[in-house]
Amino acid sequence: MLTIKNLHAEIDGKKILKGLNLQINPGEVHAIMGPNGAGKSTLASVLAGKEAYEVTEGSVDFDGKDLLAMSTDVRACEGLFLAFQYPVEIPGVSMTTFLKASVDAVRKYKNLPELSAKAFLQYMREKQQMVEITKELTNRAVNEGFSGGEKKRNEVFQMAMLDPKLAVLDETDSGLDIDALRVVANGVNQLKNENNAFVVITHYQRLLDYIVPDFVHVLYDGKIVKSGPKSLALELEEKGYDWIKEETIA
Amino acid sequence: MNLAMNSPIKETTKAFISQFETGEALPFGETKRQQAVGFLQNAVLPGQKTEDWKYTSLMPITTKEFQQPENYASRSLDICNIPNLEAHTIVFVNGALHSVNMLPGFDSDLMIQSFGSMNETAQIIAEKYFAHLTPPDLDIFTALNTAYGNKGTMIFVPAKRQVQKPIHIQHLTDTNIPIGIQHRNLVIVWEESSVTILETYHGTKQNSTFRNQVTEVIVAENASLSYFKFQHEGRNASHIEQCNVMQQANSQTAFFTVSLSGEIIRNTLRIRINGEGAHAGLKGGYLLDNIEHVDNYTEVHHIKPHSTSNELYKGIIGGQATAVFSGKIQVYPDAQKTQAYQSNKSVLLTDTANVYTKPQLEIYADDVKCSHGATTGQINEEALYYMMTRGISKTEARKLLIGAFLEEIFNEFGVKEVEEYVHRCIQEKMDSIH
Repeated sequence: MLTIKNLHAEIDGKKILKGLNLQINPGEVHAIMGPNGAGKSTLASVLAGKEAYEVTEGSVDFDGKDLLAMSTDVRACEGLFLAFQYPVEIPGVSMTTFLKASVDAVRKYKNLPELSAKAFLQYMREKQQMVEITKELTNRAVNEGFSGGEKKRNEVFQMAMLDPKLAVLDETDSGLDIDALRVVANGVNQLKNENNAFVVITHYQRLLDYIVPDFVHVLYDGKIVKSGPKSLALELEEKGYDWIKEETIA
Repeated sequence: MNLAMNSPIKETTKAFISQFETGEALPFGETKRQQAVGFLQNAVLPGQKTEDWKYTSLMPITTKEFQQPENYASRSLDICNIPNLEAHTIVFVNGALHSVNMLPGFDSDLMIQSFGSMNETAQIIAEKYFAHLTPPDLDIFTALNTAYGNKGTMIFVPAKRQVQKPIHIQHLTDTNIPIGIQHRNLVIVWEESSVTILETYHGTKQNSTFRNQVTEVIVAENASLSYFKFQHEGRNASHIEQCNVMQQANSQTAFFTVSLSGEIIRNTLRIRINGEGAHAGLKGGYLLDNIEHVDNYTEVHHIKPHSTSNELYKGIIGGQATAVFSGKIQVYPDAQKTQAYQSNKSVLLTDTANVYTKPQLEIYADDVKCSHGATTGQINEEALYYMMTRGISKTEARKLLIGAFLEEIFNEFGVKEVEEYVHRCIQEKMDSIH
């Protein structure tokens, strides 16, 4: 589904990704862990197509298409979803208006007719229940005045609405208490099927108790330096990242 | 020989005034008219050294030649229509009265009349209140309107009447030559009455037009008025407006001024709150492109104690367009417990767009709450990116953000059809701005 080859990326002339390789197949959950500054969030931003990042080398193939050649909105329409570490507040734009615009844009891209207002609201209510999002939240402006937990739940809610092929969760667990973490993880687990895939970027192993990964990768200094099964995450939790650093340098 | 008399500005002023001289006078206000004619003898056009006109050059208006409008009273008015809106209408095409349409079942005391065809009662009222709030010698444009303007609307709501449906004053320009139009509104809302007025400006062609308008509004005790002005006459249409309002005790007003196109637009809105417990609301919005120029000049005078005002002007400025906002709040020595708030927020779409903001607080009472603030920024790039990661194109995302930014200006007008119409016009204009 996603094949990243020798990816190099920089921001303001500063090299962050330095030859990253990753293969993701349908039905898989990949966890990407690593110390601060390793390039975890950069990877998420580069995949989503944030303008400030420049890809200097390498390729990303998404279901047979050149992902890097697409604009951010087209990537989303093709089925890539990024759950933000810091979801953006958009004053004045209601959640309903925003979600309708989003769902309509993706449907239009796929040559599907727009949903009627009634069908849309019905669809929204179904997904709302999945992530325990209240009606009050959907009546408000996008993320405006949402608590940290509400913002993250809202990311998973949007993910449920768009039903992407590949979802990248950028430190979705940061700042979440245990209840919110459970809600977010439940949402992901319900959406998971053999046709889609998840990349869970996290600093801590905690989230992986709830979203069980098939593979764990360690990102360090712009490259994936170690990959392994779920037990690798526990090992990292126990030992920290220093042994990886030493191993890499050696 | 007096040198000043022959200065270039004097010559320009004389030539400018002469374009509007007409013989046909109104059946009321003769004394005021003579005063205005007298004032014009020595008046000069404001230049950029005139403090209140510092950022608005009148050159685009004074260098053009405007002719007397042709009468196109038979033209199609579709462009002025607001879908599904039920309103009493009075329509002017190229400045001349086209039609008055009252909805069935209206209160027969309610007067919506054209200056040219007033009944006797209306004339008596007009004689008393014409140029009552706007002295003929206030400035050159007021004097010009008072001296030579002979078209206008009078709206008189007698005491204790709640006018259910809005009154819609429609202005349409449809011309192949540059024309000058003078219009005047006299609005009187008597004690304990309420009314909603919508005034719209549309143009069918891209020809230059100049509109000089004076509006006088009296809102008596316990009365309320909601007044929406929607300017969308075309990018070569200039409009100078002097709107003077007098509010009495416990009256409520809400003024909305939305400018979507114009070459030079100058809206003066001056509210004198001359009674306790009254409230004035002023909201303005603009979406500008190319070399469009909108100058909103406002004054709120708190003369008596316990009155409040709330002012919010917001604009999006693209291209090489310019927005000017001057907001003056004056609290008189007696006006204790005044609460007055003012805010101006601008979003610049380009490096060549300009914003000038000048708040002014003059407070002569000591127990008041007043504040003002101004912000200037760009479109929130993070919000754009966020929306794009959800599949929304950059163009659509910008439209959503701009729509949301301006929505606050008109979403409390209370007439859904008008709010939806303005929203749609903003979205349409956004399509032409990149």
